[in-house]
Amino acid sequence: MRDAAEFDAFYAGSSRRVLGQLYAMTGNRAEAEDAVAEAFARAWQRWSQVRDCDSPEAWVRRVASRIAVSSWRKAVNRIRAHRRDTLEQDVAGLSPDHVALVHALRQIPADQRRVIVLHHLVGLNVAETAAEVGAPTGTVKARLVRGRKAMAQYMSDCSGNFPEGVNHNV
Amino acid sequence: MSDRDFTNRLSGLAENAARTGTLGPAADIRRRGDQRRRRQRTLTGVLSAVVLIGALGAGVAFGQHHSTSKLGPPAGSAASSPSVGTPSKPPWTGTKKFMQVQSGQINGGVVTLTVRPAKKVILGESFETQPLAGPYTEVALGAQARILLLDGESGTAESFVGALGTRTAQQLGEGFDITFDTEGKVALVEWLYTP
Repeated sequence: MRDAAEFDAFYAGSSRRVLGQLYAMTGNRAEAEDAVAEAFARAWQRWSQVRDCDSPEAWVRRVASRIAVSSWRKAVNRIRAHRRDTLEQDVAGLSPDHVALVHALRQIPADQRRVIVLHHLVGLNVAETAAEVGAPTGTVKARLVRGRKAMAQYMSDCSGNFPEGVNHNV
Repeated sequence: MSDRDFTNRLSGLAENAARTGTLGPAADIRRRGDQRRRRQRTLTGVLSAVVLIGALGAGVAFGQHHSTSKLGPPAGSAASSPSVGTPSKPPWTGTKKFMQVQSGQINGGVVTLTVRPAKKVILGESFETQPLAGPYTEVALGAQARILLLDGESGTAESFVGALGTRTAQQLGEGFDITFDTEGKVALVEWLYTP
């Protein structure tokens, strides 16, 4: 019971934050919700190991992002997402700024989205981002630059206001 | 747009999704995790039964071979000389074993692992690796061998060998689930902890 209470507290304290991060990584609400729920289920499945990780939340986020990019899972989710909500419904209620941001996020490759979210949203520096995605720091920097540049282009298409300022705080 | 503006806009988007997204209650998530755990245990049980049946079959075959060898080897058969470091035919053909992996090597594109069976002692939801006596044996990875990480993702044989070399002192003794194909080569290596 102690384990369940501990897990429940962890879930209550982190699940929505991870969901927000996954939404930014995937650009799709249904995919993000499914991936986060599945990742937390896997965390509970091996809770005795996960809770001893340096950061259980980082473990869940890492697993959720892998689930989200898994091609098999993506195919299944696409069908589910299509049933549950269309893209228009997915951005319903968002401000024009957020719609432009979602639009731009959806246009860039998943690996670029992931490092942008980890660096700009989660607040990891380049070295920490590199450790989380398992890529060299040079690769992470390149993804950040390319991702921001591409997003700037897409957002300017959408809103006409997104200069290309990229600054790496390592 | 500055980094700060971009981060603020991204944070606003994430907070909106976090606030309005749908996530089930923790109890539902735990139930889902419990189902995964039960399925895994069932699968482990089935595989253990298959291993046991295989071991019994191998025992019968060994007994027959032993009684035959008392009468002398059949004409034309090569003398068997089991020894440590024979990657061609380990005794675990077609089975799944829990093993300690001492090291991994890549020589001329061929990946080999130095392994020894171990005992998996279940401790509630976790387990402990209990070393067994006996020599380490070198086994080759099959061409289609898969490396499965704890979260279900696949890794490469090369990255696995690399990861073996960077294990901490505590991780060195941890066991892996290793499945052998019908040629005695490693078909599947499953990480049981996050490397």
